[in-house]
Amino acid sequence: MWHYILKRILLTIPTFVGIVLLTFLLIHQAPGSPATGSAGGFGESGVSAADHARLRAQFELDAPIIVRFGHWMKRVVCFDFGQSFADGRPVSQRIAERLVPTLTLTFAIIAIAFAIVIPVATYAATHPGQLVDKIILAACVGFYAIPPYILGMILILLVGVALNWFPFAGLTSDDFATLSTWQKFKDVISHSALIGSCFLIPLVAYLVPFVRATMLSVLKEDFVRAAHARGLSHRRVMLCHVLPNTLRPLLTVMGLIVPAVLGGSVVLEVMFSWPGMGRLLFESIHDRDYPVIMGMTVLTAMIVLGVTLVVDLLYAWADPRVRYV
Amino acid sequence: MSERSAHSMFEVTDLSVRYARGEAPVLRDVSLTIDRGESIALVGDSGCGKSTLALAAIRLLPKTACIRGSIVLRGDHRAMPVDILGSDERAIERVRGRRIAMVFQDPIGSLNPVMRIEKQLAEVLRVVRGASRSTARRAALESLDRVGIADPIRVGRAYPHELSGGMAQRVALALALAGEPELLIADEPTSALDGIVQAQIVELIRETQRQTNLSLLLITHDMAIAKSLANRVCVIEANRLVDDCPIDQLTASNRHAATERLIQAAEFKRSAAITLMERTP
Repeated sequence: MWHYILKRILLTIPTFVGIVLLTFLLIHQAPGSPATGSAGGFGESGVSAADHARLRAQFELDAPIIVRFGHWMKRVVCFDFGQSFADGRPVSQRIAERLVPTLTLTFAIIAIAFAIVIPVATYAATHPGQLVDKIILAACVGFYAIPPYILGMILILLVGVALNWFPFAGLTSDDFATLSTWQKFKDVISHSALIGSCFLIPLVAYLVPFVRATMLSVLKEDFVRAAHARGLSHRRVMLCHVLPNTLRPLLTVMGLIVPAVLGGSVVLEVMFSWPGMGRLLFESIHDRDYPVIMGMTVLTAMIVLGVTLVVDLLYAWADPRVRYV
Repeated sequence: MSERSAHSMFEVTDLSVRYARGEAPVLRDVSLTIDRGESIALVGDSGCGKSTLALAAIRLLPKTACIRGSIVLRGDHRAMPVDILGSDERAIERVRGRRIAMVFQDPIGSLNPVMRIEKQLAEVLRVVRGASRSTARRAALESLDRVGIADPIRVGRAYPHELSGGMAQRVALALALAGEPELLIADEPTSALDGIVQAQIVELIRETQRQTNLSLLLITHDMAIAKSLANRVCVIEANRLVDDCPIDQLTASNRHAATERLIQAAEFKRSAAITLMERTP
């Protein structure tokens, strides 16, 4: 087992370097440059040739790309991601202030999704083919089919504007600083309700049929029938035998979902002016803010690889039949 | 057909089952009784409905099945008779494992794949016998010992997929016998096992019956296994019970054609096995 973990960790290193190198090359080859990006469009906004040259020198833009990659890598190994081209602040600070809301939102969404999915899917799986089951499945297909940006617009117009239940822009109100801790908490929650729903609704709509189908196949297994035959109550069979075997395949899916939600949705965060990772990425690509883009790439790659690793290990723990050699 | 005995402990009367409304019945008007301590073998070709009878007896048929007739568990004189088909789910849960237990054909498949053996045993002992958390583990190891497992500690720590088929069937038997049932339903308990292990499991069931006054409903397609365990054989053919005779009258000349066929099949299998053994140097 330890041998497997070590091998697994060592294997992530080439993957990680590959992701980072590819992103570095792509973003530096893309048209536009931070010199024109951060000083407005070159030529239109009257950045003088001298200023332009000074910015290029400051950002090391004239060095060969491989040299720049080398310099950047050298700093990254010491956890120095450099300063943002856009506002000169350290990249780590810029990312950290966006990562906190995104992380919180991610784990809140996943927890809420589970709290909804498990009872709903269990009900559907234990009443297959009945009217309620069919309604649940139809609703899931419907909600999953709505693109998130359409869902976002519907929620903004319906719940935000027409009903005026939740604010739909930003993370905090203008008078945030004057609020008490409890009010601050409520303020952030209400500002995140709509964008959170945009993540939550498709996720639940995706997971319910998945968990239902898994549970249906577990319910058909011999050991469930045998557990009933041993005199265990229906509740106990469901909780101690059916559910653990149902949730096991869900781990794999979680490994795909966590990075997807954590990376943030560019479209949704821009739409709701919500200060998360997605919008930071959008802004920094727009500004050609190479250090921030690269910092986010490193972080996202680390999170994705880390989550995949944890999921693999959890899988081995949850299913004794999968013990790697 | 045998006359109904006064001290029967389990009675199936005119049982008809179809899995869905409008479908052809899987069982038609089947009646049989089991006496206390008696072993009945229910023999028939695959698909004739014998497993359906076993599942009906412990009420594990799908909820969509249409069932007619009655199944009554009388048990000994202390216990009240239980109407298996008519009782509510709670009452049936108290019958399962405690008064009627069951082992299945696929022993590994009938164990929860992600739970250690000792935990599965301890769970059943806690639920069925009301053992405390602390005594349950020791009782679990003892029950493994009782079904002839030489190394209960190692097997207790194992997961189902780590066991051989014979070992898993012993565990399944330990689980079934945990509640000291009056009737054990064994649905093809040896069909998934190879020859020597088959004989060991048969011997284990026989030994258990000798020690406790356990009644047995054995479901099998193999007349040889039936002969070695049962004292009465019921033959099902095409969803109907066609023959019901004591084991010593099995060779009488006026048996039903289906019974004859099953006996011949068993003999053919035996002679084939002998031929094979003679050929093997």
